[in-house]
Amino acid sequence: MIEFSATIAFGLIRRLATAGTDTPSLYLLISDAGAIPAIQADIAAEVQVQIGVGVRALAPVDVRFDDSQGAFAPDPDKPVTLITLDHWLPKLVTALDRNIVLLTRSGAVLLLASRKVAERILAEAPNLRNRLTDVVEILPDEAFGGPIAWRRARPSASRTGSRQANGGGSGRDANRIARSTGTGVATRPLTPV
Amino acid sequence: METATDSKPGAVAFDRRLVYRPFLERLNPIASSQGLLADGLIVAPDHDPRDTGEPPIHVSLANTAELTRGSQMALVGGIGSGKTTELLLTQKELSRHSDAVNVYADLADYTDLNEINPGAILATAGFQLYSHVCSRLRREGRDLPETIKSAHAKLRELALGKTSWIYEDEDYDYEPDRLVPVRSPGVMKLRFPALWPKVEEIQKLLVSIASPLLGSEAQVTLLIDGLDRLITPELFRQFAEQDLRSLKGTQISVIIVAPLLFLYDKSRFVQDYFDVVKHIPAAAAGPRSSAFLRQILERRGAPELMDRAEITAIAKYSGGVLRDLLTLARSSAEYAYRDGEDRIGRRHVSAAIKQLGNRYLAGLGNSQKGLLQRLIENNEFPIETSAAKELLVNRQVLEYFKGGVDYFAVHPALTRILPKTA
Repeated sequence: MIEFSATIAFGLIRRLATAGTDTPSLYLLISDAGAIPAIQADIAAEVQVQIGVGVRALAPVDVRFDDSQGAFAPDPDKPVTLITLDHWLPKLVTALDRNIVLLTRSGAVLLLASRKVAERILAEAPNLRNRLTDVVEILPDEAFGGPIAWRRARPSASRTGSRQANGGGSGRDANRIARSTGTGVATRPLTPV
Repeated sequence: METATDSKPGAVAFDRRLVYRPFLERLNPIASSQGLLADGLIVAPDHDPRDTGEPPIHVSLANTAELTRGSQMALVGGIGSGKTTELLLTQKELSRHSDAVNVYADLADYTDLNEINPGAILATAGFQLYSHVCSRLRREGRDLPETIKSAHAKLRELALGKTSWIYEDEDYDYEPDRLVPVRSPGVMKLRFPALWPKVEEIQKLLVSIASPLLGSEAQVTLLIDGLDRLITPELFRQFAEQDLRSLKGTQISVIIVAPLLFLYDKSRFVQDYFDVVKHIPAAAAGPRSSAFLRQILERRGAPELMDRAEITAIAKYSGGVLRDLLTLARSSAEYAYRDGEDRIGRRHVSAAIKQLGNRYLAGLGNSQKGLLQRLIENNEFPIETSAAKELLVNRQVLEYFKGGVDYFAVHPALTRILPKTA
């Protein structure tokens, strides 16, 4: 698998918050299949904390295009849509590909997929791929000591500071994030925004 | 603009969000083209991409629609090449005549493109023209004729289906509790059913609805978007053979976007069927097209955040694919923002190019990489093979036109990372 830049839910949702959730965006998030439930939870928590809204989580069966008021109608209370594709569903991916313009009209859409599925999406859904805002590898927060665990330990400290204090996580994953974004997360303070 | 963001007492820091956020919004590669046009962020080409001496595509299409009512035109181009933008520019051009009726429709807004069937274009056009007729008659203080009302009702029934309520058994006394719904799926499955056996009927309803417009000298032009996303020529061809053919002789002009592969289809259907075919190739590197790409970035505010060298690099590595141009600029800005920089630098652009190249690299097998290497090293690209067509559709290979010659090249962002991996 090709190495895409890596992030965690915190960084991803920070990007969404920076751009504004009413700005159409479409991300393909690549994850280990086993980590998908944890990442779903991380994303929901970060969206709630950073943006103050809920996530519209769609299982493949919920993704329908036969009703213009259906799954992709804009919802101001839930401007972030998370679709999880943990196994290959060719008919669904073709439907996403052909109806891609509907996905790009409802705020931020996050497609969370296992590595295998993500690779097939990139290869077999050209309309979708061409409209992706970005493709990122997403890692569970636990790999970085876990914000929830850390919040429990130091609830009053800033989250940015937590990652800084933790060195942005440790081990291979942290180094990959630092390298791939070119930000040196592990060695220098994050810039206040 | 400055604002207090630093934690130190009295410190004032530069709030970079206020610089980057508007830039990112203007660069959104999936933003609504209508919105961009309204905001003046679209740079209209000043000539046909295949002939610098000819007017731009949108002007040519509009001229043909105005002078030859009932003409049928196809706009062909790869994914992200700017077809929707050209269509909207054409619509704007056509609007110079106040009596022109111009209907733009992305079929994905009306039906599930995965379930679409012939008849859907006609039904969509019928609904849109009905709205136009209603508005016009209302403005003129006239009532909607019964024939149009009933044609619209019938069209809705054919397109959207109906549910009848009948009694479960043969007891004819009125007992509401015993009524059961019966769905008549005949013509309508999902938002559009398998309409093709009904195409002729729908065409008659459409013409009936449009009669107040067609009876005058006004020109009616349908601008149909979205069917290029069907990718394969065979699927698209059904619509041309059913829906578009039934519109011949109605004086309704049609401009429709068609899949790129049609250009390389041995049947030459698109060239033979349509009155006019316009192709938007990727913008080849060169003084004129590079200037066009730079203008697009400048219109969106790039010089505020990057130097000319970065703008030039982004234009070059976009391969002339307009959506990739915006994607690269946007990604570069995001990298710079995350890096804590006030301006986009070379390393941010490089990181964005690598990321885009990786997207194109994903899913490529050895045989496909072999084809790409042959193209890079020997300029050989067997477009008649399905593997080559797939590379073209997926934009790993781009089609260019320069100096009167068509040629292929590997997407430059992919070229940049390919040698290390192939």
